[in-house]
Amino acid sequence: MTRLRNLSLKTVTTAAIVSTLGLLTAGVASAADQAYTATATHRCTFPGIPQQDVGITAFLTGPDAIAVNGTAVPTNVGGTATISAAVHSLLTAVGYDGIRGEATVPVTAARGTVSGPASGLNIPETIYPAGGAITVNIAQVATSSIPTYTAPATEGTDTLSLGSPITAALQFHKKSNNTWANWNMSCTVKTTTPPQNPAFSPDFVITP
Amino acid sequence: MASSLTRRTATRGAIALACVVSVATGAFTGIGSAAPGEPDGAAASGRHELAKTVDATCPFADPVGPLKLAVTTTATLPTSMTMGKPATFDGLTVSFSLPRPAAQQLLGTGITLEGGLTFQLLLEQGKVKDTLAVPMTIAATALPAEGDLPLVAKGKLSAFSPSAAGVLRLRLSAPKLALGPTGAPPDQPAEQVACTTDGGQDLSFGAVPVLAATSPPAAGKPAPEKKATPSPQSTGPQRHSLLDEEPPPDETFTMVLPLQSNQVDNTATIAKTGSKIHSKPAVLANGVWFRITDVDGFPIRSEITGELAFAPVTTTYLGYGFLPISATVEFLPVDYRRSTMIHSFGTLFDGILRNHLDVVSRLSDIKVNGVPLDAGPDCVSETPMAIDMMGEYDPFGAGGQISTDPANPDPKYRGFTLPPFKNCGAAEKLSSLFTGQNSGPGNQASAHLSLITLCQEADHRNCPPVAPIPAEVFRNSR
Repeated sequence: MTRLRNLSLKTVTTAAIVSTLGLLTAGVASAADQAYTATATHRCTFPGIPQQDVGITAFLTGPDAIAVNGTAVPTNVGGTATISAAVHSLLTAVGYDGIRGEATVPVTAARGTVSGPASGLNIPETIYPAGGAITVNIAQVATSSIPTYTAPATEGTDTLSLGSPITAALQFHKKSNNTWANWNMSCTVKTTTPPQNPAFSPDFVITP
Repeated sequence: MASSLTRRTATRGAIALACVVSVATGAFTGIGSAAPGEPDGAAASGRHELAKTVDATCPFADPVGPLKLAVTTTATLPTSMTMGKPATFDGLTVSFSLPRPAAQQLLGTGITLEGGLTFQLLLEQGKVKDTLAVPMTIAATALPAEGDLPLVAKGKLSAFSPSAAGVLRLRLSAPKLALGPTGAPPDQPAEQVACTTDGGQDLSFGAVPVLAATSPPAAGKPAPEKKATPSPQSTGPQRHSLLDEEPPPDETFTMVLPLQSNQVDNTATIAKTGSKIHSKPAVLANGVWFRITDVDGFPIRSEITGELAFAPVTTTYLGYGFLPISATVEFLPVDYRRSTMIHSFGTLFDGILRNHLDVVSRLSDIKVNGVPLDAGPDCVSETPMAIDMMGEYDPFGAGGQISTDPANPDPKYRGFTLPPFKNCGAAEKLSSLFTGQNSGPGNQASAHLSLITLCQEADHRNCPPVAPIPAEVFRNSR
């Protein structure tokens, strides 16, 4: 059951396959797709400075209900990472103004299983104007690898959560000579009191 | 000797150049006016004046943007030069009229504009080519009530000796400018603008015949004594203050980030002795990046501060060119009796780090030809020496390399002055001796900065050791 789906088809095709897969494996039709989101502040590595806060929001689209032991491959997996104005300003000061790369986002399930992290999520090349916080977009593309979710054996609900660490193979754009510098970023959920809840909302509904 | 132009590069230090230029000029003047058989006319004075105007485009910062400047270079050249004999050009000036919008932008709220420029003087003798970097200084100049701002840069060309007879042709190049308001705080460095010459121009700046060295210089006519001309960077307001703790003005955003520690490998070269002082690796600790932006996110201040401590190092050199001398040199903070850390102040814009240090130098453990010379416990420079270095800093790459540079268009970065020494000598007064041997302008400094990578593991036990720990030591520690 632990297998990674390497998506080479377009999202809409994948969604259709997922719906069909759910139908076949669980024998229960999913009424509709549902958007799930999770938000948590992470501590991420940057060059030259200690780890910094980055607000990460993740989203995915899945069935609004899934049968016990059924499987689903989410679609429209992506998110945003908000880099603070201070860090953006420092990047500007050292001569960098753009970001591109790929992200790997682990996801966990409280009762079911997830076959692995979502990897190869695209961070499109973006040049940012100086000033203010910046939002880095993360999106599923054809070459992304999206894990399969397997529902637990009993009905009820299941909670998916952002795992740790979220990693990104980034490149930062140097304005002066139009070159790209590599940086492997690692982000862990920020320790707070009370602890943050990096769960996707709403819960997955597991039907008989 | 190969048929090439022997030049004394600017990197040998401004003081060396100033001395050489002064001496060479004096010698040439004396010889030129006394030498028999000089041609008539212009040769009566042994020199002739040249002026040349070149159109250049200079990309000033927005919103002014690129501007065209008519840059006029004047100099007094000798009517002829002699092979193997140092010579230079007198009365070197570069002048241009800075359009009023650019002057106003550079001035901000300032009253007078100052700075400097450098340009490359291209020398061609047959197929042999060489370049001389010419650093020049622009004195504080006030913007007139109306119209553009006329600026004049003055400087000395380092002496050079053509090593072959023939015609020496000179060509000009576009200047690099460094301009800023007088008395600007360190967080507002002079704007540096690299101009380019417009195409289709004749850049030639005259020619000088080089005569073969057929006879020795006129004997019994010593060159008139001249004191060393102070190097350009020793004039003008050079006072630098430390971090201005005044609260930022309203409508701004202040951001402060702690920095990871940087290893600093520093080298200082003393012009008079030629000795290089390689400091042991030091750490820039307590690094803080401080930035203030306006409401639109544009930087008003961007400052890097930290603290440094250098271990004492022993340096050796030849005093007066022949006497082996060794000494322990320390670089200390201004308040060295109570402090151990040197405050480092810098600005960071677009990947360019400009750093300023105020450092007291202390000498001890001096040996002259192996014989100890008791310098006493407090043989220090009379005043702190101000060291300004600039260069690229890139935390994604190898770090940073900042340095002084005699060819920097901004005089502040062309070298540092080692002040006279005081309190030297326990049994006999030695301050003047050490001052004479070491003190003066035109000394060079460089520093390589490299990030000390930190382990980011939440559990420190997952961090690799910096150096392999012997198994026995590791076992005993558990």
